[in-house]
Amino acid sequence: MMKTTAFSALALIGTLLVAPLTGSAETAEEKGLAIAIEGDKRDQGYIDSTSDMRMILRNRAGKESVRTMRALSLEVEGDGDKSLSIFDEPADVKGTASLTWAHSDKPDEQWLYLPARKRVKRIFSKNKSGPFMGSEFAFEDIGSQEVDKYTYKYLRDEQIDGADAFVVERVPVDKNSGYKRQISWIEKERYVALKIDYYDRKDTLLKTLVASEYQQYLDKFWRPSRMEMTNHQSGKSTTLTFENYQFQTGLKDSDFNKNALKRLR
Amino acid sequence: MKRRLLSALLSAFLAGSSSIASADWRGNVSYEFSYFPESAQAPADWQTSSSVAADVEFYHDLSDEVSFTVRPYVRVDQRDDERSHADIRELVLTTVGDTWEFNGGIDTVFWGVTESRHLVDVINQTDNVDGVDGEDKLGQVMLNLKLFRDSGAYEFYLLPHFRERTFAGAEGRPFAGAVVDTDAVQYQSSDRSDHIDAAVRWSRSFDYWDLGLHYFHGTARDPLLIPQPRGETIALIPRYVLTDQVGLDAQGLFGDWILKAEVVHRSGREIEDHLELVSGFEYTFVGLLGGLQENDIISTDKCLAEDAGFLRRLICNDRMDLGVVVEVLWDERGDEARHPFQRDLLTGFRFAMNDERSTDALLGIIQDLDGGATTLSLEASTRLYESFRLGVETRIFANTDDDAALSAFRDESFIRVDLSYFF
Repeated sequence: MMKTTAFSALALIGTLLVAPLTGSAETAEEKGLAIAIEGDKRDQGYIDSTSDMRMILRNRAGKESVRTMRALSLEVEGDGDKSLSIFDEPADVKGTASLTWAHSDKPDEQWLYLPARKRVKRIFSKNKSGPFMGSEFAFEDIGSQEVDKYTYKYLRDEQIDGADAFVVERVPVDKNSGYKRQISWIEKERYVALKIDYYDRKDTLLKTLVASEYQQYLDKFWRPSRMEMTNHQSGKSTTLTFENYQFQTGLKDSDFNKNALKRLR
Repeated sequence: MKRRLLSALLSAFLAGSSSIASADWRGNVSYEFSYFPESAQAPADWQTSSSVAADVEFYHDLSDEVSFTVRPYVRVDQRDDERSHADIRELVLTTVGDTWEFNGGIDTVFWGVTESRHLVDVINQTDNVDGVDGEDKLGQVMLNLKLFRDSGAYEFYLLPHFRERTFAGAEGRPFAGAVVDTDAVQYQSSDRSDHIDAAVRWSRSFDYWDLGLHYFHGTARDPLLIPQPRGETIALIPRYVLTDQVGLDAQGLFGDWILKAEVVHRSGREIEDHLELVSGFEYTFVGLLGGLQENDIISTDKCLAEDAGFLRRLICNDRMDLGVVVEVLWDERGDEARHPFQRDLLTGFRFAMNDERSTDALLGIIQDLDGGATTLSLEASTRLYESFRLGVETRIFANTDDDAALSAFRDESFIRVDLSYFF
């Protein structure tokens, strides 16, 4: 997928070349970026994947509502990934599908298919801070996490649930992000995020994401089976679970085209 | 025993036809209640009416490349026999390759980008009795080939059978002032409804722009309505004329701005050559009221208080998006146009609450710029109990006295509530 652009790839080479010479002179920013690049590198080569997603929305009174959807994604060399979500529940949105082409150097492209009118609508992806399907996940939380979409700063090492982790602060590059910054706990062994704290534009703690039950696929790729997003301000929470993960299923570029949206089931 | 063998064979055949064979169905049944505050002339002198409808889609994958879809539709109306109707929206066999797609049968196709009128959406006939916004369509028989190239998508359509537009009957409301006598239908073509229409379209997405170009030759979907005396009243005879239409649709996305345009040039032996245009923009205020809490105009604590009433919850909703839609509607023929939107302005407000019920609302005001009518419409809906949707729709016709096209709608303002069950 090469989420890294030429610039960050150069930065990586720079880190590799310079680090042995200067030793501890690596800045916190360089170390933070190097961790992000390593995490990205370890996820390269998955080619494509599909999974069944189930979202349970919980309000402050504990009342639940359920969304189910299928997610498909395709690695794109030299650019961001392409992804498709097809909704199955609630029934009034059954057949609705969204297609996203993530980009590292320009705004993402996004289309929505509305089955009742057979209408494909191009939508602007700037609305990234908006809630995804009424849940506590914003569009930007579940979108493709390209290295270039943040600047990084390594803060410290810390244990989390018995695992050694890097604590890295990341600041969204896009000024339309709903966040001032995020603090992520990246497990050292597998380079996966175990927890992310999201700070709103006022720099108040807004949400916490806990990702758990990681499973390895094709002896290489780690995916969480469960993500729990808690909104500290509203008291609402959303549990997102993934089932039936499959990799290298033979999806084609033509499946991730707006012309194919009408045919999706 | 024989029957059991047959069913075993059949299921073996179905299962064996493809390793991924899958069938799927979905749809909705709905109940609608209409209320017209003003009474009209007999026989459409009722004020309340009920109607039920069902819209079901069956889908079957025959293989990776071939699928079959059938989508019947039926509506039963308490008052209007013309509104009680059934249709096959889709009955289509689809085959696909990497760079092409073929559809044969009855299908529904949507083209276009604007909100107020759909000028370039010419493939399907409008199901005029089903909804008043022109967005409900009758199924169209077609052979359709799509080719996907780097230079864009190329679509070719052969449309062998023409569908007549549906019109409200004598008992139907909103009543347009005269009954359209669909039994007396006229065609310019001697082939009548069997004239073979054709259309081609090219479309392409660029980084910021989506463009589409089309050419249509055949029977225009919107008929001329020719007045004819019937005793003491006047009936309208629909006459379908042959037309050539070329058109462009364009949409540009620039941050929170969306620019939109649809323009068509239409000509034919029985209609004046002319241009029609709908163009405008939509600007979205993302998280409109979020700034109130962000800038401490209202405190977050107040918003989270248990006793927050409806108004405070509304003000505290930092998730709500507001889209402002402005569109200009224009027809070169002016008052000679066969529709009310020759020089009009739409101002619309689209609310998306982004809540767990996916509550949304669209308020639109169309003002005739030559001192004519003001049409106000409101459509809103919200989810109930996971599988239901409750909707409300209203149309208010005002200042109709000096508007030739809409004066008949003076007493036809209405409100409709509908409850749909989805499966």
